[in-house]
Amino acid sequence: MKRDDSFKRGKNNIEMILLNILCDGDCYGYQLSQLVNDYSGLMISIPEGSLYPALYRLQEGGYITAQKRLVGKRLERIYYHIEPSGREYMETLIDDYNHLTTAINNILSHQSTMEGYAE
Amino acid sequence: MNPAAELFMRSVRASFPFFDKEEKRFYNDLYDNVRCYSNFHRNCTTDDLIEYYGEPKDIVMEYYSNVSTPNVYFELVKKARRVAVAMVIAIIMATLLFSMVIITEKLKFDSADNIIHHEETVTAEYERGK
Repeated sequence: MKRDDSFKRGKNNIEMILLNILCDGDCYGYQLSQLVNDYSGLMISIPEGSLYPALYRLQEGGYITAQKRLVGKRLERIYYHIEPSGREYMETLIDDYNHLTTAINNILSHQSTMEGYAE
Repeated sequence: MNPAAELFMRSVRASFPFFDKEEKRFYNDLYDNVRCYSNFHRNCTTDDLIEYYGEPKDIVMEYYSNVSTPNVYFELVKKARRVAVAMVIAIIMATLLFSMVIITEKLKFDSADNIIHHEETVTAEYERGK
């Protein structure tokens, strides 16, 4: 049986969260990190050193696009916009995440099944 | 952006081992992020920024742990090579300069020995005439 390496893919969780937030509308970097904080009840915060590389990966994959928009007279902000392929990718990531949590729950809820393995 | 935020960003800039296109892109995005924060917290201090974003070196380490590692490794090797080449060139230049100074001084010293400042010859005729 092929071993699933989804447990190693912690980066995918950040991408999934970001894509999910972008489904509600275009956001800029600071706004994304604030929304992650707010939606998670301050339980999850994505450090900027992880946030932007995740956004770059999503951009390189064509899942999101970045647009410079003028805010006020001179200030420009980069807004991220989710593309249709990004929505599909998010569904895949959510499926992976659900499989992983099911697998972890199975481990946590095991009922003393060691007898079969004991020497 | 307030002076504390500017200072914080200078520390972040100084924490990068090298500053190529990718690092510049991240730095500019982080700069915008810090500017937004400082707009919402007008009187923020450097300590506030460190509390919110973390230490500058931690931000940079976090960034590198999220980008492809081989790229970082090769960039560091390239930087080490550039430093080594620069040092060899500097040593060669210093040796050449030192040699030129020594040769110039030696030539000056030798030419000073060859100049006849004053020569007095007392001839026998002069002695007899006297």
